[in-house]
Formats: sequence, C-alpha cells, structure tokens
Amino acid sequence: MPLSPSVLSELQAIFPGDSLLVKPEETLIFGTDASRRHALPDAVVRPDNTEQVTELLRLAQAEGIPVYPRGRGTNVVGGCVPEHGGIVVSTARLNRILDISSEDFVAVVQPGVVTGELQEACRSRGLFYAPDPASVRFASIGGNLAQNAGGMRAVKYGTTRDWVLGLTVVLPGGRTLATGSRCHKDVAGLDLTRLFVGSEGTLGFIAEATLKLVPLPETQASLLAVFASESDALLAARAVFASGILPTAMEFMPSEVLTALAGLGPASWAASVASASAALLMRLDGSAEAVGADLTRLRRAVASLSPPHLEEARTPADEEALWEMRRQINQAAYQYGPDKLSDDIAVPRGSVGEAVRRIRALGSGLGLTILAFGHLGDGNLHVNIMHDASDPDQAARAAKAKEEVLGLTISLGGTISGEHGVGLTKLPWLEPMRGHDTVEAMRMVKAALDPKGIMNPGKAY
Amino acid sequence: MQKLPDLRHCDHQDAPSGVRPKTCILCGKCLEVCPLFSATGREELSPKAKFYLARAMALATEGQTPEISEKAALELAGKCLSCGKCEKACPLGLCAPELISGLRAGRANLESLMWRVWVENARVLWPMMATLSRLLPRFSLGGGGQAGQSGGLKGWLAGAAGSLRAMDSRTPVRPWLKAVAFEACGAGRKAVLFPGCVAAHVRPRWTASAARILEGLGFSVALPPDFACCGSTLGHAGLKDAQLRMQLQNLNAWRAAGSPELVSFCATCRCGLRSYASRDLGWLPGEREAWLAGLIPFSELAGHAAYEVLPNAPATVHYHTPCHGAGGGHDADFLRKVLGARLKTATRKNLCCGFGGALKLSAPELSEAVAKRCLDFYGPEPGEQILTGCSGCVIQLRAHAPSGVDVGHWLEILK
Repeated sequence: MPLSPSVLSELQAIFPGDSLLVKPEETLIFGTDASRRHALPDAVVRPDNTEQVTELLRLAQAEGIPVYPRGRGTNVVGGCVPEHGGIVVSTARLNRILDISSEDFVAVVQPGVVTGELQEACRSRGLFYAPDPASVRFASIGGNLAQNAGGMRAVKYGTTRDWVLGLTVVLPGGRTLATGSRCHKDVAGLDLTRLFVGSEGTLGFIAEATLKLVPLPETQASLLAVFASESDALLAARAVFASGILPTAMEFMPSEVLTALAGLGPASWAASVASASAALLMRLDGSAEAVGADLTRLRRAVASLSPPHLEEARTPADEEALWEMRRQINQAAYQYGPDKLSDDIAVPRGSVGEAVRRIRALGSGLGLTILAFGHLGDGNLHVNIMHDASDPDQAARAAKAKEEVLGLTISLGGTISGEHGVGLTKLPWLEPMRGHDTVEAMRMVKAALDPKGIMNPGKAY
Repeated sequence: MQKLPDLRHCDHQDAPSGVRPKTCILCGKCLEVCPLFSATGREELSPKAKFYLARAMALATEGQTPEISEKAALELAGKCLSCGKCEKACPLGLCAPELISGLRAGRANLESLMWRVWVENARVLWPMMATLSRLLPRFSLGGGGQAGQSGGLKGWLAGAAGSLRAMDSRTPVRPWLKAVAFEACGAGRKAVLFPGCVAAHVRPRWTASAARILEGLGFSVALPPDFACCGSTLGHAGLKDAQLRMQLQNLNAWRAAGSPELVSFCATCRCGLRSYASRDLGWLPGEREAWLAGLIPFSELAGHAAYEVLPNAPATVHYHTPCHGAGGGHDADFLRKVLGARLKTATRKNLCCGFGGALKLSAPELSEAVAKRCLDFYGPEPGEQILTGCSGCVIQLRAHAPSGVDVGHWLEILK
C-alpha cells in the first residue's frame, strides 16, 4: 500500500532534501541486497542523527508502516529486502566514530561506520577490534551487529556479539533503550545487548554501539600446509589444537578447491605435490617473540602428518599472497559451473570431517560438484553447490542438494547458518532446526518489543 | 609479436559479443571505492545501483517494471565520475563508466552535447573562457555564483567559473625544482609530445617543461603535430562518433610526424591513448607496438635526471593520485625520490578530484562535493601545494582548493 499524502508530508518534514527518496528509479537499489531478491520500498530515508530515527519510528508505529534498517545491503540472506512495502532506513549518513578510548578500551560508533574504517582508526591508536567478516572493507558495523557477523578470526576472537558492550536502540514508537555500558564486565539484568545483536533488525533500530577493544597484536604470521590426504589435514588440525595453540584463523581447503585454485594460475604447491588432497591455511598473532615461538610449535604439530608442502609467511606481502588465494576461492569455484547455491553451515568441530565427506558423496550422487570449505577452526563451512541454472534439470538437482545439505547439517547437530543469518532465504529451515516452541518464543520476544510487527517484518524467525 | 599490455582498466568499451553477459551480483565491493557514494552517502548513485537500474530498464522494455521512466533512469544512472575505480574493485570486472557510455550512446542529452562542443572547440573556447572567467564575478549569474544552485546553462556557467579561473594560465605554481644532470637515455630516439587539451590551450608551460626534460635526456623532440583531444571524456559521455573521429585524427597526425615515440605527461590522456591499441582503427602491422612504446608514465623518463630543490620550495607538498593511468604509482615514486619528506602521499581508495567530464555539466553539485571531500582529506595549510599528474585533476582541484594553496601538474614546479 503506498504511503498516504499526510505520511509523506510528515516524512518530508523529518527528512529534508535528498534524505527522503520516493521516485522508483532512486529507491530501486534499496529494494535488494546481495541475496538478489527484490521488493520496491515505498520510501527511503537517510537520517543523519538519532532524533530523526526516533521521529520516524514514532510515525511508523502510529501508522503501522513497516521499517527496514539497511547498512550497505551486503548480506546474502535477503535481510534488507522490504518484502511488505514501507520505509527503508539507510544508515549511510549515520557514519561517525564518536569515540575511541585507549583508557576504557572501547569505541562508540554510529551504525553506518564501515567496519574496516573503524579497525583502521583503532589500529592507528594501537587498539584492535577483531571481528573481520569477508566484507569488512565495505560492510557497515550496523549490518555486522544485525547479522552477528563472523569471519576468519572467529576461531580465536569470536563473532561480532562477543565485542559489543552496549547499544542504544530506538524501539517502534520512538522509545530509546540504552543496554549495557562501557564496562567490560556488566551482568546486571537481562542481557539485552546480546539479544539485539543478531536480531536482524527485527526488534529495534540500533542507533549507537559501544564496542570492546583490545591492545593491537604486534605482529602476525601465516602457514600453508598442503597434505597428501584429507584425513591427514583433519588430523593435523587436531594436532594443532592439541599442541596448545589457538590460531586466529584456521581455514580448510579440500581437493576440489585446490584444483580450482590451480586452474586460476600456477599454484605454489604444484612442484611438491602431484595431486593435492587438502590444505590448511593458518594464522597466528601476538607479540613478535610469541608469534615466532608459536610458529615453530605450529610447524612441529603439522609435521607429524608429513605435509608435502609447507609455506610460511612472516611479512605482510607474503601473507597477502597466501590469503589472496583464500579469497579467490569464490571466483575459482565457477570453473565447476556458472551458478552456485551457497550456504554457511556450521557443525560441531569434531564433525567437520564427516560433514565434508558426506556432502561430497551427496553431490556426486546428484551429479554435481559441491565445494565445502572454510573456517575449520570453528566448524563453519561454506558450501557452494555449483551448477548451470539455465539447465532446468541441473537447477532442480542443485535445489535438492541444498535441501539435503541442510538436512544433513541438522542431523549432525549443526546449524543452517554459522555467520550469515536467516533473513528470508533460510527461513523455511529455522523451525525444522530449532523446533516450533523455540521459534515461537522468539516471536513472543518480538511481540513484546514490537507489538505491531513493523520492524523488518517477515524475516529471521 | 610483442604481447599487448592489459588495458582492462583504461578501456571503457563494450564487451565482446558472444560472451555471456556478466550480471552484477550486488556484493557491494564497489561501495568501498566509489568517490561519489563516499562523498554523498547516496547509495542510488553507487555502481551497483547503476547496474541494477540498467537491468530494470532492460526488463522494463519487456514490460516487467513499467513504473520507471527511461528518461529519469538514464539521468540518474548518468551521474558518474567515470573514474573507473569500480572496475578494479569488482570481482567480475564490471565497469560503471562503460555501462553508462553504452546507455548514453545514441541518446545524447544536452550536457553531453555541450561537453562535445566544449572539447571539440577547445582551441578557441578554453583560453577565451579562461580569460573571461576573471571577469565573471562581476556578472550576476544566478545562484549568487554558487555552483549547481540554479541549474541549467546559467547554473553551469556559474559553476564552471571557478574551474575556468583555475585554468587561467596567468597563475601557475612558481617553479622550485631544477634539473641539474641528465642521463643520455634518449640519444638517437625521436619523440613527440601529446599535450592534451589543457596543456595545448591554457597551460603551454607543461609542454615546454616536458620538452626540456626530453631534450636534456638526448631525445630529438618533434614539433607537436595537429593532435586533437585524446577523446576519453567523449567516450564516457556516450559520444562514440566524436571520440572515434578524434582517435583517427590523432593516429593520422602521429603517422604524418613519422610515427615517433608518443609521449604524454597527463595520466588520463596517456590512459586514453593507450586504449587506442585495443580498438580497430585500421592499424598497420607493428604500429600498435610503436604507438604504445612511448606511452609510459612520464615520470619514468623524468627519473633519468638529477634535480636540485630550490630555496623557495614549500615545506609540505601533497600528491594527488589521478584515477586514470596512475596504477603503477610511478609519479608518486618519482616525486618521493626527488622531493623527499616534504611530499605527503597519504591517500584512500575512494578519493577522486570529482572532475568527471560531463558530470561537471549535469550535476556540478556532486562534482563539487567529491572535490571538497578530497581536499578535506589532504587538509592543506596555506603555503602548501598539491601536485598531481592529470590535467583534469589540476583544473578541478585548483577550482576548489582553499585560498593560499596552489595546485598544479608536477611539471609546473620545474624551473
């Protein structure tokens, strides 16, 4: 239902000039995100202060108009798609870093700050904000908070949620909640901070976040180990943890991924490994002395599995070469087919090997290549089902593969999403995984905070 | 045959036919580098929005999204600086300037036609307007002389006044660097300088400085033949015919001069000239290689001389990286070596001067916002200078720089 003239004129009063958009050519992009689903919003607003957000949520509540917070639309699950019409709130102009304190070890930011820019600002003061989703250089902290984004470093440093001390949240109707504090320990009352992080914009609008910082690790180093068999790689991962080391990142690449990477250009391991079966890419950080000692220990741990290729990187340039390879997997995957269905499942760490093997078998049963790779250290696997969507039969087999992968994941005690969130695209799988009563409890929480159901309706649970 | 260089980042032309068209996957990587998005926070101006809008327009012709008018969509999609940064950031190599050039082709609007008149008649219009611009503040041009406030031709004239003053050849940067010794690397080589619109018409000193360096290195420097504009900005404006005409004129002028090494000191011109090699211009065998041979960054040649910094040198100089043709960072490396610690080279991926060719006419307020953000980043104090290697950047940054801050091509500091 289009917005009434009176609502439009109220919006104009709150959002002057180009901070209100209603023309379809201008609002078009705000109807989609990296899921590539689309629904055209009735209006887009661009607040540059919290007061405007308060006014908007007062108006939207009174009129029963859906509101969709939007960072930069980089989520892949349809979290920003305005399925039910209404108003998209772009945080692009709420992009100020309000405080970085090396006394309190906190940063206070507005939601539109780009996470990578926050990290850069912290780094120049010798401070560290650890979460690093792959989109860190172009996604906003608000989106990271909404989806509880993870990333490569999660194995050591956890996900976004573990770095949030407090939030300022505007609720439907315009009330403002202040959760948590600048204290690194704060257990008074229900932990609403952790409730809002990962709520996918369904409970309120996060207008400000107080984030935890730690001293910046002095240095880091990486090690690539290529193994003769997949089981060797998985045993090596176990040996690393058994040696008492917690790497900042531990990435797993199976043979299908290594073959695809070798297809992009000469692979560094090609000379020493005829057919590479699996690889681990690991990173350590800390003081120079500690990283040196840990690297020695890491090499000793993987050496028990006699990897035919070991490559160490101790300078930023050498490290970049190794991690660039990891980033190229997305592109390399298309050698197996022009289209892909992606999931970001997680399974208990001990089940990763079984999950990888069974997903591979499931793919070959359906005549498709499925890549399962990624964050071995925390059990979070990226599953890419490669196919050609222009062939209806392949498209149907790919859809079936996706269903079977998610079914398998749940049967292994895993989760349908390790870091992307549920949004629209994974919604049908939530209840089979969590159970009816649990999902119902989530909806009761929403009803308490958002009785009219205007915040990002139809998403997440 | 010598392998032709990768021209992907310079050559905004249509994809070869028969290739499955790549569709923007909406990943958002372009947001990191787009200067227009960064300066305005307007996601509808981002490269991904342009690709999505173009897709919707294509679907609209099939009757699927009837609510968007083609005219409005073209106008919005056309708001682009043509900096090409998105192409480098895009995992699929999609290039918004190329998209827009294609959309505009055959649908020239007032601004792109005005831009053509401006570029095609540079010889007459540019020096004349640069001179006239000194008188402009005395005229009432609507909007109180504020760029972009009044729209239309009047608004453009008002907005352009600052840029024109910037080109006024009477106020260049004062030289403070002297070449004191040369290697003989140019001995036995013949070169011709491609001056580009700005140097040819309002900054002849750049060409003279460049010629002195080449001669110092032992080159035999031919008189510039009858070169036209390199044609880059016309291509971005969708004026493919006019662009092709200029490309052929330049190619023929070069042939007439005996096909010497073609040397350009403007980063954008050099980028545009290099892209000729990938076009079907009726090249003869071996000609492309000869055309490309001299089109290396001019600073690589200038690096074969030794320099002395004179006492009137400013304490701090900022280097502005042009969007086009500065990929290797040769200018910055050369200047760092010669100027030492006084040169500040801090930059960000999404900095751009905001010149943007036809955008200066269609949306001067956007061009200005981008320039302001760029200058705010450098934060120059009075007495400091900003140097760059591209004519367009010089015009734009001079027009918007705070008073007391000189902006010029780095050739201007050479005595």
